[in-house]
Amino acid sequence: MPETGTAPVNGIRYTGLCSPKFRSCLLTLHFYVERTAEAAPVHALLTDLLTSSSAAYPEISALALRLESLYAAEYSAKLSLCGDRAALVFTVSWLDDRYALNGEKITDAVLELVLGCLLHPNAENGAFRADAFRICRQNLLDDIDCVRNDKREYALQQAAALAYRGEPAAISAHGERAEAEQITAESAYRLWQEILHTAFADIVCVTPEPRPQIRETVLKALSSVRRSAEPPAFCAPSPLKSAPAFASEQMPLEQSKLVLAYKYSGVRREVMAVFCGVLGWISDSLLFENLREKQGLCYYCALQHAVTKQTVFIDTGIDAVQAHAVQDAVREQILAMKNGAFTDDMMERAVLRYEYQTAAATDAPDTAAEMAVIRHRLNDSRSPAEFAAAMRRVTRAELTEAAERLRPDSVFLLRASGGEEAACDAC
Amino acid sequence: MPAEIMHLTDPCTGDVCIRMLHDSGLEIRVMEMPDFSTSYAQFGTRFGSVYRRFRRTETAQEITVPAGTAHYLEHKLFENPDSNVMAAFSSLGASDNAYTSFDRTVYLFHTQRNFYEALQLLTDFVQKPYFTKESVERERSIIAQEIREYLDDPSDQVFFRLMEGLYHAHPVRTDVLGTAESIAAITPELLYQCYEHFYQPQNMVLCCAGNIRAEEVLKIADRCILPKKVPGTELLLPDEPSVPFRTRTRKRMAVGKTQFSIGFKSEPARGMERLRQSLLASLTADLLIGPVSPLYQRLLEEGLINDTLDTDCFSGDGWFAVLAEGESDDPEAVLEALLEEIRRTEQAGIDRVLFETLKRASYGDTLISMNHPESACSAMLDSFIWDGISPFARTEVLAQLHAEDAAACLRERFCADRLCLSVIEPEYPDNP
Repeated sequence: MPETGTAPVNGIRYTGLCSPKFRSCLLTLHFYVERTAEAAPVHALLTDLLTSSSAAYPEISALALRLESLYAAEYSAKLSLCGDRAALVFTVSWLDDRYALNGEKITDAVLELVLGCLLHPNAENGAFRADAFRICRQNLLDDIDCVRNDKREYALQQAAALAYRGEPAAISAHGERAEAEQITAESAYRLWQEILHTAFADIVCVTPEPRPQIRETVLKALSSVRRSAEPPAFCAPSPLKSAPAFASEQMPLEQSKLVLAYKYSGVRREVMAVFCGVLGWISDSLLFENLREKQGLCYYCALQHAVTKQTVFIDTGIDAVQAHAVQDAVREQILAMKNGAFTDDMMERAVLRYEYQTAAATDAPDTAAEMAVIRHRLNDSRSPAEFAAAMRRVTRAELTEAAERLRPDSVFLLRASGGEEAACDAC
Repeated sequence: MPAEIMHLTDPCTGDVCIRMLHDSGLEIRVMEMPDFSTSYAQFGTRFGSVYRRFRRTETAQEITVPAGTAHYLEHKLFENPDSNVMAAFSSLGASDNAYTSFDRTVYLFHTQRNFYEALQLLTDFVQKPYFTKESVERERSIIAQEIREYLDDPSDQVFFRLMEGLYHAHPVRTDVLGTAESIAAITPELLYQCYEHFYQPQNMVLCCAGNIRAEEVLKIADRCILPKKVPGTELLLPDEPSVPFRTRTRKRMAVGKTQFSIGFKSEPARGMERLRQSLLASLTADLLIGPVSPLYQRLLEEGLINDTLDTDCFSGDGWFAVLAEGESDDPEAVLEALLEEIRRTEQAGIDRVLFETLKRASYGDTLISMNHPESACSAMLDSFIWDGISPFARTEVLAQLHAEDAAACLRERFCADRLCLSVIEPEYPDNP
């Protein structure tokens, strides 16, 4: 996909992607911030405050109605966690002007609306307006209370908090309720102004055909804010604990969740990509085949790789009495990798999977933009084809060496109450 | 060779769906999207969780199967005595999967390369059932764990308890996966029997979209789709009263805030009428309590709802329900406010400007959603399951809807005496 990129200027990097296959456009703005316990809930709150109303549309339903009138333009924001940093990600997507039934200029209207939300929020006298603030803070408090609703996600969050103890990455996405209750309309507005002036902004726009006016409009609008920011560094490997840690929590559940965290150092990214593929990503990975299909120890067994933290999480849905057996089985599969008990075909399948994922990402505006941002974050100038070629050059010896370097760090068990007590150890 | 080829064209975008009726009886739907990098295939059958009771037309024999049978069969079809199906897809660079819902079971893959080899693999394994006592037994514990996982999912639970409340006897009231007890009765013989009835080309559809050619897909079908003797099968549904089974249902779970789902039960519809009624019901629900509505704004300001509130229309063979779901400390107050808004709108009439705005939004949504091989493939499959309508019917039907239709929908599908409220309340060890 043709890409027009610019070197960062005034703390802004703007990348344009273009493909005639798309019927819609997408603009995404990533503002990078440091993660702290105090700021975390404010960051989460801002993603809501700045997408639900603005000075021009002070009521939530008014902004929603305007978006609907623009052929269901979608404007949303989220907090994206990237190791010790976070990004406030504002994304808007809209139907391309060519498909407007009455010749409306959807693009112009969408840009005006979104830039209005960001630069002219629903605020007065240095504070967000009380009504909108109250509603959004209640949404945030509800989000914090409901963090335990998705048990698998909750277990992974708790495992990350344990693995990254003492690091910014241990802070939960929404922060804690006590801190969220302390946020005021003034403090939230102040932090947003600080972010606008100091946070590095990575902007990606995806369109069906070149649209230089979008770039001009966005950069011109943001240039009204005096900014200074350097592209942040994201790589911050998490130190290995001197002894593996274990934590557990009990809940009234049917199924327990066990998450194992491992850390490594000195392994190239492409080697880890093949390693993770063989161990847990390909459809017949060692973990899936052995833990689920052969031994029936769990319903799911997945692997997540936090590249910037050099940490691997293996999460499973289990019967609590099997916790010990599952840990043993995971250990056995890592040992199998150390002993070279995998095939060349599995290594090739890991590469094919990567190639498919990067190709598939170019088929939708949101994933195409996300891929560009991830490449910027990892500061890896290699194209997907070059990275895949590097993966293909990975040797069996490098994989066994990677397995050797993978060290147990921590274990988190979310235990179903009522079940038998689990025999658990720390890896 | 196909007995019949038809080109269905979307007047809004120029997209073309090539619809072919294969000699075997299989319907094939293809959308050629040459600018895209990836391609998708979905091989589906009209056999889902509501197919609990059916009749062989030639013998009049009635067969009843345990809840969860369609899903169990989906799991077991991946079993192959000669090879590992998933590894075979993976070696081609393709990712495979399958799912079972209320009215269908679908086997699928997506890939950037080797599409036709993967398509051959897909049609091959779906047509070669291999169920043994041992393998069926082994699967039982895996599916039991899957059931337990869903039992911990509050959004799944609030929905299925709502269905239990709305329906007296229709099998839509039972979880797609069944229960630990119901799956205990599933045997290889039963799976073969269901396979024989429902995995017939005449009951199935093959949908492909992406960087592919329809004529190549047809060649694979000619080579791989096996003609079969057709045992006619008729789905038997129980009589279902128009009123709900119960009006309230409550459960306690490990959740942070009370979750609710309000469902309005109404008369089911088929084919194009089902599409028309579904669109109308969705638009009307949004008019009443969607984010653009004055009621939504008021409930937010009063702290009765948060931004999780959503509306949906859920319909199929013998069921039709409009839903409003979200989080609230007082779901009864939300329900009362909604009922009051329904009464007010019935008297004041539908806001025509708002209705036209929502229609335009739905048009935009539809055009964008079809702009990806995966969603195009799913739309073709959906429209086949919905009695074989065109995948592009949505924008045509939408254009013909008027505020008066929404007013009729409001009267017929939002009846206060046909609703159920399902609630999941928080339960924690530290907060009993």
